[in-house]
Amino acid sequence: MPYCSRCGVEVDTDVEKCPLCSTDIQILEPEEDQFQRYPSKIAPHSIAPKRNKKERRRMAAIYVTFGLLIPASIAIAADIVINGDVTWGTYTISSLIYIWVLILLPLLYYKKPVLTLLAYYLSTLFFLYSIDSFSGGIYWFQGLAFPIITITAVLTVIILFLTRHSKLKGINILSYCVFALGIECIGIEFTVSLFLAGTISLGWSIIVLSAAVPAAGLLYYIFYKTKKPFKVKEYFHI
Amino acid sequence: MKKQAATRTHWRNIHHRDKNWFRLDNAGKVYPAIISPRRTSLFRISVSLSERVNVSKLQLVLDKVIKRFPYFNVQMKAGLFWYYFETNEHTPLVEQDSLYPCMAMNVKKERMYLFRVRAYNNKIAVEFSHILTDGTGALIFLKTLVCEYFLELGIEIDISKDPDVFNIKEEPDPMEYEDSFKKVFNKRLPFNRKQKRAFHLPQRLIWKGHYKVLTAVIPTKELLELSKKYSVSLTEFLTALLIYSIQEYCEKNINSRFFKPIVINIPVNLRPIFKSKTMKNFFVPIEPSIDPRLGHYAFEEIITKVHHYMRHEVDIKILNQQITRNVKGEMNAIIRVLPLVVKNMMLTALYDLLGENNYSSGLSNLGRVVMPEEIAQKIERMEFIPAPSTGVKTKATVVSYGDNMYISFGRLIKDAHVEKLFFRKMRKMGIHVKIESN
Repeated sequence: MPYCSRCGVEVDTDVEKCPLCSTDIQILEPEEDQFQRYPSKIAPHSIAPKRNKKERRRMAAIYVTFGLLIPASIAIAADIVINGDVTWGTYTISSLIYIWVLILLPLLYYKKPVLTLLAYYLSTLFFLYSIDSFSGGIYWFQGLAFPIITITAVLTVIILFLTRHSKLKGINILSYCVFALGIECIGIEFTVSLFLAGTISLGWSIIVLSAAVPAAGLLYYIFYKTKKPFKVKEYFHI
Repeated sequence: MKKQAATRTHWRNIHHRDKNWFRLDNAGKVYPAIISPRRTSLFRISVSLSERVNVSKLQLVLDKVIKRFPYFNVQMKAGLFWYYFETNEHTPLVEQDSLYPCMAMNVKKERMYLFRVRAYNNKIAVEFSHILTDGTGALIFLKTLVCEYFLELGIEIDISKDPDVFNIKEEPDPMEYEDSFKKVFNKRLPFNRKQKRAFHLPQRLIWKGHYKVLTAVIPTKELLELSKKYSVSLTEFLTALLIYSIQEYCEKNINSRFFKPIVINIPVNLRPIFKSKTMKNFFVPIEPSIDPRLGHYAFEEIITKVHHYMRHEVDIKILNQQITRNVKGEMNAIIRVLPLVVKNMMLTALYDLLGENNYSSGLSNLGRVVMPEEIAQKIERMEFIPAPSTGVKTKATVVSYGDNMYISFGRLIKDAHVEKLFFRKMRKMGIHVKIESN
């Protein structure tokens, strides 16, 4: 072991100068099995872990909230400055609240799709109800908005249920959607005719459905055929 | 009544376990205000194994161990009035070591842990911010981590014998979360503490991010024999030697007109005294001193002074008086309602005024560390490195493991003035000293 001749203390074999008084020390061959005490480089600053999904969602929720507050407050201010009262501002506000709910719910409750869907359904109804009532009393909400939104919601739930329970997710989902669109059109015409004329008469929606059913069938057939690899050799053997 | 009290305790326990935010303890509250790139508040305890560390295994173990220490699995956030800890939803990663330990980490950042585990060759080091805990808390964490590491490597260890090694399968004890300062203080105690401006080394600080560490390896037996000769404890002996070295430095380099008292800051672990199990900070400093303006002190004189001072100060009532002073300051209604920004400005000034201005250096003794006997052979050595200090510039820490004692000095100045005198004096007393540095 080398020594510092001035301090009398022992030092490591690879040390050039005494750590206490900087006197030169003769370097001896370092022992092979000895580990170096400190690295020769300065490590970079420790970095904080990146935001995880949950934290990113939380941040997004905050940005969206404040981002929507800006147009909302501009609308209210402009309405009051121009008209001296809140008039058309209510439409803007209710739309912005609706947009806010639409964006925020899946951000915060992405683990609860049923709850989110239910909240989507209710908030859509509430939004349409408020628009209807702002424009001078309830007129079209009960007859049109409520049944159409309900039919859409039911179809969406069915499609989501099917999607969840199908082992392979691909073109079959598209086929369900096309079929559901046909049904949706039937529902819309049914509601509209009942609302306008008071009788049930189906016309254009039958045509849509008649196109949707074979289209969905074709899509499903393609899905069925392609879900297994197409065996060229076996199929074309002579 | 009894049942009611029991229910209350039960609810408090559940409350403790479930809540994902924690208050800073009384001592920890000062540090966030004074943190700077140089004064990082980080100190380090490390073990060197006989073999190279398997970093991936260590990471695996760290992931498990951190669950047992929920009060360390936190990030610090600023509230309106105080900083607070919030559960960190990430996992701490084992990091590479640096030439300069205890540096380059901004613990105030969001999602940043207030400690880090580093591995280099055969060394496992933990660096804790003083905001989070003190040496004892950090040592328990390190011991648990090392024991689990060896368990992962397939060595059977009976950890139940050692109370300082936590069983990671157990739930944390609510007592570990407590701020013991607040528990033991007595608001009726009078204020009594004379502050005096102490001598500071005059040198300029080195670059930001640089930290010079000097570790001396000394046979414990030789030092123990020597301190027995003076019939004092090891800490008392080393403190006296440090005071003597600073006095010698002053006499050689400073004009006697500018002499100031030489004061050493020695933290006292309060856990055994107040029977606390807390894993947060729980210490108060005591400050033995001499005044070189009154004349030269011989080493024997200093050692007697230090010995009697320590016997006088390490007294449950006097210690509680100091705790009370600190807690009263924190509990003061006017101080509490000041916004954090104002508090930070005040605390920075206060820390210099009541803290670092009043001592010339520090000496922290972690004591003798014992590892479970199954792995004692596989651990070569331990080191304890003090947190860097811009005010007093050089501080010392002591830990003993196996047959050796490891005295580390951390300094923020270029040359090892005090250290040189300290170890040369030790050599003259016939003690073998081996010096290492970064």
